[in-house]
Amino acid sequence: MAIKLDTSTITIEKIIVHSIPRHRKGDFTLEPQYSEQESSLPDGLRVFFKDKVVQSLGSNKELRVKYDGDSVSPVSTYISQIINSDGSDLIEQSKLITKYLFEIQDGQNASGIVVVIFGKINDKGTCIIIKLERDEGAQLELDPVTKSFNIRDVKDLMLTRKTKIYKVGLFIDKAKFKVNYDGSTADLQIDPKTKKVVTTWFIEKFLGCVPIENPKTTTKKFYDYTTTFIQSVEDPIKKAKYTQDFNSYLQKNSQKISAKEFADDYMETSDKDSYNKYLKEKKFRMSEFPKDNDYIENKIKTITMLFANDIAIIGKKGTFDKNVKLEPQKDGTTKAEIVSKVKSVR
Amino acid sequence: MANVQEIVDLWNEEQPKYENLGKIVNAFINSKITDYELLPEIHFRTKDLLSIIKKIKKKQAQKEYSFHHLNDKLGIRIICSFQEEMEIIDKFLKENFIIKNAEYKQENLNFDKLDYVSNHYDAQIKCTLSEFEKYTELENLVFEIQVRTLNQHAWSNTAHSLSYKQEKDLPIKLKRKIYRLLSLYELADDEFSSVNKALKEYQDDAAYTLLRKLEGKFYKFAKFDYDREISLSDINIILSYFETDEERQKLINEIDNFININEQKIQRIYDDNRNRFYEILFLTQPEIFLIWYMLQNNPFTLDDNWANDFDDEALEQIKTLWGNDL
Repeated sequence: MAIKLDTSTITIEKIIVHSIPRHRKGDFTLEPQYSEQESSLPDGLRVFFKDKVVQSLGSNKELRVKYDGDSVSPVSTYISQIINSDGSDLIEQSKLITKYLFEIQDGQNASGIVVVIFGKINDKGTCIIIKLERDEGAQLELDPVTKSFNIRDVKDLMLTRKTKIYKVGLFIDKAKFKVNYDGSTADLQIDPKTKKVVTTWFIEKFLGCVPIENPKTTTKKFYDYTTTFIQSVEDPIKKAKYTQDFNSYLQKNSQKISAKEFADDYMETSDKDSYNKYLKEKKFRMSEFPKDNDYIENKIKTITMLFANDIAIIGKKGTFDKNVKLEPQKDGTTKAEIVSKVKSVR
Repeated sequence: MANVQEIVDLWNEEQPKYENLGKIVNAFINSKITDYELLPEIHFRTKDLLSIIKKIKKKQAQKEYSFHHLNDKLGIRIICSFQEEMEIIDKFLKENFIIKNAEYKQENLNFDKLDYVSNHYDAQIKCTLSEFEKYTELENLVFEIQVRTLNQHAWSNTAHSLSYKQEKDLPIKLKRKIYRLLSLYELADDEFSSVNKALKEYQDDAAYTLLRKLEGKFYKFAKFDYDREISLSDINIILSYFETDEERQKLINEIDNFININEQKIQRIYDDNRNRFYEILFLTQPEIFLIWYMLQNNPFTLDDNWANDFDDEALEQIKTLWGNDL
């Protein structure tokens, strides 16, 4: 039986920090600044970093991933080495991870900080990678004596919001957990005012991972489960509203969608919890996933409302809610009003 | 007769051992008794030298008695709120100590007699328990544990202040007054127990019912007391988030099971955060269990309403402590 990965059980045992300067693609006159030692981690900072990881992976941005067999990224090998060595290879392998990140970055990428952690989740080894993008002015200084970065400076950078985006990946040995995914990732914006588009670059190109499930399949499941749930809503007006809203939500201009976002944006509180419970039963997660409407394109083009008297109203996407006025009647029936010219009758 | 100098020498040698034993046993009971969902008061003291000498002399006047016969050189006192808790404590003591002798004073009283009624135990530590295994040099020391209710304690203290002993030859009128008082203490204990039981089963006030359900569990994990006024206010607010009585009742019905299922996780959260309770005040109140329950079962109801009454950051902290399944 699969073992649940409970983030409340995360413990941080070792932590190391490396720094990557901003550089042009192929310009190797600059080099990453590597720590030659793990950073010392007082209890207060241990709690801080654990909390940051738990919060990131508890957010709506969390996504289960698996290593992509076709990826050229060697990061999965380095991660496995860290986990298999019980953290003793953390320094060397984390330097290789940082080196690879430096090599694939170009001038588009801001300078960054790579924090690599060896720890435990559910008492089993885990490797956590945090990548921070930092402002040019936000410098880290390598201690010449300990040859390591002070982890407190990293915390200060995060708290003073001199880093705008941070990305987190937590990896495990999936055989030990009897699960079919290698880890979970999350792209976070520290400063919500930053409107930078979060890409899949970190997950795909750097970590060499893909979502655990084909986005077309996930989107189809999301459509099927949500539609079934909406059908179970008793109030016909509400049902119609949710149907239209869901239709709009699926077609909005966004690369990532989630059941949580849909519920938060469109549903009444009590329905949100019922929806959450329903999806849990179906083992469908509330957090974000990449959208691909390929399998449902035809289904979301139109909305059909069929009345008990066998009259149906069919509307195209985005036009239904604007042109059909629904009104509940005292006897439990619904009045639908359409004001328009008759175009054709078939 | 007693050789006083011999007693002085013996006690000077033994007193530090008993003092140490007192600290160890006191700490053990304090940390373990909460597993039984109780939070009684616990005190210990080693007998002072003069009391030892006087007691030996007094006893020697009646029978053969020496320093080594004394079983209360160390006394542990456990004071609980209700009579029914004495049974639970009896079970706890038998499970965790070697009980050489147990005296249930109430059982020895005739139906028409009134007197101080507590439980006394002559005990030794059980070195097979991991908490005591390194104290083998103390395993042969016998000490006394007294268990009593608050009312029994009040009576005992008052009687002590009055220098009252049953056998004293007092005028009938005065004796009657004392008996009437004693019966009041005993009645009060019974009545408090009945009220406690009735309140536990009281269903009309959901917040109160819930708090009584959560209290023992809270003691078990937190191992300290909490602010009742804050709890009742918080619980009332949280319950108001539910739109129907059915949902509220579901929570009341399921909360015990939720805590039991998550016992290990809750224990770990408490153990990991003992040194930062001041940063996370909700951890020091029993309503934390309701919030965790809702994070699992009604996360949107909690999220959508929380900010109207509490600090957003507090909810973020609570969520972080609870974590999530990846």
